[in-house]
Amino acid sequence: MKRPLPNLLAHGFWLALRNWPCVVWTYGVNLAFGLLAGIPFAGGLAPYLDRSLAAQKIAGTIDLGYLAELDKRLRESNFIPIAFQTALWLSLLEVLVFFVLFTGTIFVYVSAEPPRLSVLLRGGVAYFWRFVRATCVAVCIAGLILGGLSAVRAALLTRVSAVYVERKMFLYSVISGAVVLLVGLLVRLWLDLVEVYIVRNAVDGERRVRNALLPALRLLRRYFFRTVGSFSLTGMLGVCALAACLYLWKEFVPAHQVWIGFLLAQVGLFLLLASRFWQRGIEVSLAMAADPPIVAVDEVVEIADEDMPVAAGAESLAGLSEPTLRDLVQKLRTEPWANPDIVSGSQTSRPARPADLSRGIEPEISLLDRHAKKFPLGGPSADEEGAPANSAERTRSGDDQEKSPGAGNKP
Amino acid sequence: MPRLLPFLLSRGPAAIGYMPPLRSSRHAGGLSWSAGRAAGKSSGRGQGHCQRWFLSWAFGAPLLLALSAWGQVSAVNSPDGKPLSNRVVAYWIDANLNTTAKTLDATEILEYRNDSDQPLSTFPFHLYLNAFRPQSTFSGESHRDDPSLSYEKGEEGAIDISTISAEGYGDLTQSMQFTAPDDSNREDHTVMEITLPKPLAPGDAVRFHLAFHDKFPLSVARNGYKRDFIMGGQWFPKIGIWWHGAWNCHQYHADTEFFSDFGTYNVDLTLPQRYTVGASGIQTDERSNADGTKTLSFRGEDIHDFAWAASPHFQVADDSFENSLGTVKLHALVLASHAAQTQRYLSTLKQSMQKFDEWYGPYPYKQMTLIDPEPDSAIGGMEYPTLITGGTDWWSPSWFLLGQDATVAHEFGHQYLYGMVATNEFEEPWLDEGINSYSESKVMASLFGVNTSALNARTLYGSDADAERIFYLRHPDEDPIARTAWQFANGSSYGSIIYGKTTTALTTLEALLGEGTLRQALRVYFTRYRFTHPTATDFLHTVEEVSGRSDLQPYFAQAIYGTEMLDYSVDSLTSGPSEWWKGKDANGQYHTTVLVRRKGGFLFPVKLEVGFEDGSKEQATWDGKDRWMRFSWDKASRAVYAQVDPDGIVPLDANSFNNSYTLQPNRTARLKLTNYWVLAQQLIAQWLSFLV
Repeated sequence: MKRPLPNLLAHGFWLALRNWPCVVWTYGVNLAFGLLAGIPFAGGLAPYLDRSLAAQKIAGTIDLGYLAELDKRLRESNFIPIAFQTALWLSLLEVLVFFVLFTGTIFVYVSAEPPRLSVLLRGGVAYFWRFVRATCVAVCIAGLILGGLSAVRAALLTRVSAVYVERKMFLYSVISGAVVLLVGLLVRLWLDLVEVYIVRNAVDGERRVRNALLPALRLLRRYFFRTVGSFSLTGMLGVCALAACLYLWKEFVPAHQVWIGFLLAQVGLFLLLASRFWQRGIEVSLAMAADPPIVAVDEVVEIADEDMPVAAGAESLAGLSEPTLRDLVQKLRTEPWANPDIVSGSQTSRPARPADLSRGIEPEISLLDRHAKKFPLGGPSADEEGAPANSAERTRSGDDQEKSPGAGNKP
Repeated sequence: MPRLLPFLLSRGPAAIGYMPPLRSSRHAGGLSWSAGRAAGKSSGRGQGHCQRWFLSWAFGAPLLLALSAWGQVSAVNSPDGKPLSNRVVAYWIDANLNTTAKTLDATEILEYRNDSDQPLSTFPFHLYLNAFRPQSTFSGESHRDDPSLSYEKGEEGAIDISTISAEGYGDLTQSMQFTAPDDSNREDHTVMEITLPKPLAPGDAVRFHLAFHDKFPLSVARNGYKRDFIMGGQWFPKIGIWWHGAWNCHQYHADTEFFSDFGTYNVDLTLPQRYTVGASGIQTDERSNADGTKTLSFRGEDIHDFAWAASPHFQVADDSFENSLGTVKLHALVLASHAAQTQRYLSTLKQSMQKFDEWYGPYPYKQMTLIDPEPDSAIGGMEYPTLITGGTDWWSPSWFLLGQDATVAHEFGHQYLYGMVATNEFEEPWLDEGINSYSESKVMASLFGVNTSALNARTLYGSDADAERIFYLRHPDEDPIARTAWQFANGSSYGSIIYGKTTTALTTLEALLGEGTLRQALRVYFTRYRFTHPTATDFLHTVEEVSGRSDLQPYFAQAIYGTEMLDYSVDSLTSGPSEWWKGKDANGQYHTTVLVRRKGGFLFPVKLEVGFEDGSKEQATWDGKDRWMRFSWDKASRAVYAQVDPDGIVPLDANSFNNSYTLQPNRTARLKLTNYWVLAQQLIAQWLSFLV
């Protein structure tokens, strides 16, 4: 059953905006790595340009002849390979950091934890390996799908090129390439939803990555056009924002005004990055509205009543929450989403005993409730609509829990 | 040729142009035209042609001879009606093109006149299409430069001579043997030699009859086919050239081009109706055949090669150009997919013709054919007599001039430097490619601006001459300019030196002579040596003669025959109080010292300029012979910069960035490039993070 959804674009944007430090921190990392790569590059150029009048041919409108000669001079000095290698390794390292930050961002978006850097990093580290596993699965699937599609496309273009040339061939190439790109974007979107589900499932005690794959696919299929439309639109907006900034730079900034050009480029890059966080916000809004988790507190209590050891690190969870939510976190500290390390530590381990159950536990507190409380999503609540898709399935067929991702995997 | 003639003679000799008796009475009367229109069927091997020939000759020849005086269509605008060249060869070729199999069957009659002062008994022929086999020297050298080279099934090319005979000498087929004068590669098969039973006396002529079969390769080296486009370049057995007392008939190498005698060409080409053909010379006739084919007749005069291109997708666009010798028809065959570029082609061609006409002299042929080559093929950018191939893309922007426009300007320039001044492209490739590239850079600069003749975008610009200089800088000292084409280190060095360094060296020569003087020298060189085969010595002597300079030999020795690098730098610039021991600004006088260094082995006089804070400038010249030179000035102003070659007229200087030194650093360029670098790094990182 399709659940009515809120306006994904608006709520995704709102989510990203309210958690603006996530974007800022990530952009900060992006800028820092860019500057790190730029420092040796600038240093390598200095001996050639700083005191040469030939540099004037580059400082203004660029004389390609001089630029090409500079390239030759740099290659002779082994500067270019060094600069490229430095940039390459920095980029790889940056992607790794990005991975942690994006993971932490999903955690923040889903859990409504404060978007502090420490939370980002802890959330990112906590879910890191699960996201890595999900990425590996997605890469394999994407490799199969896109590899096959690319092979088909190459064969098609080879046949077409025997007949068509130039503009027609270009159109064939672009259209077929767009199809491959679209499929690639769908895979990326599915992976995004998988990542959301990984965090969301943790609320229900589900830590297995594979149980996030199908729900994400179902969700994507169920709300295909809205999801893909919103995802594509925000992505295009980001690209257009960057293009607009670069256009302004080229058209209206004098060639020698380096700093204005730098600022415009950075604004464009920031907006491009922000659009990615907007996309993440959309995906979290979608998943949490369409398929919210339910924390069965009675089960938590039941488990807590068993004489299980308190997991190490549970004490530090308080730091994840805003003071207004502290009680709630205390109450739900056994939730895997709140401390995934506890669950991921061992397949057989149980969640920690609730620290203070005697303070009273609401009969049913879902993560969505917390989420909706902090970031109202609109639309009917879980109570109004009944149980979410996979939770409903679990309810309907309690014996068939394995078929319902996100359910039946309580620790 | 009047259209009545082929009708009357019905595929007689006139079908491929009037073929007169041999120019030597000893061999006259041996005319054995093997009509063989459908050469694919008979391959012109003599069977079944005698009767037809007899009828044609009996009834047609007298009329033909009678009409020939006025019926012969001339392909040139000769000022006095006489041949423009010493026509050593005359070809009559009747070819049938199989556009499906990409093969051609033809008969060829070649009349060769012994223009030497000694009897000749052996005659070498170029069989260029055999180069496109893996065993050939061409392929071996290509593979050396590019190990990925391979020939798939059906991609190879070949030319096979089934019979060859000579009037008065009989069948010579058995005497055919492949030779490899350059590298002894017996499997090369790009040069074939026959031996006459008795020598051909000086002044006598011999008429060879050949039947041959071509297999066109998938487009390679400006030849072959791509889709249904076929380029017929170097497609027929072509006799070598007796030059400087010996046969000059080199193998086809990866980086060599061609060298041949001037003569006349009469070519009949039969192919499907739907094809449009552009060819050297002028078209003299077109006939439809009963089998759905058509036969096109072409005639070229005072040319040394004949090429054609055929495609069913050509759109014809004609224009004309007037020069002092008459009207030249501009015949552009542009693919339908490039229709939007037609006017651009014609405009650049016309403007280039105008410049060459003004600078060097008139184009004497009646037609200039421009072929737009098939996309993704290796056919673009090639010169043949009175025919060139261009090159463009459907999206080619108007601000990018180094592609379509420069190609047209360059290839048209070859009509002068190769087409008419027919130098030996095997042994002295710089005389055509190099000097023509220099001419191209001048034409482009005059048409599109000195600094923007290659690229004229909003944020980038560049000149054609700079592009050639960058080409030169790829291998500035690998090989000398004056070197046989196949002896360069590799193809890249060949291109860098022959095109790039020659252009740059001639541009630098302007610094010594002046642009006008060098242009006048080139005009004299062209006028004096058109329709001949001059050498490098002829060119250099002409430059010396016209410029009146007898001191150019050192420059030529270094630039043309040497490999030394030209590189002068400003090593240091200091400017401080003259009485430094008295402290800062002791007496308001500043002592400025500049140290200039010759970093390469190339000696060249250089000019030094020093700019001062008060706006004044000081200049000095240095013969550049020593390793370094120190210059000093005492002025009431502190120096700002020092620069060698301040006018930028010595592009042969391999490093522009060490030519100047400023006391105050300016970081704008560095920061600007760093900004691009940072932006790219950030963007790539964001993109990568999106992927994972």
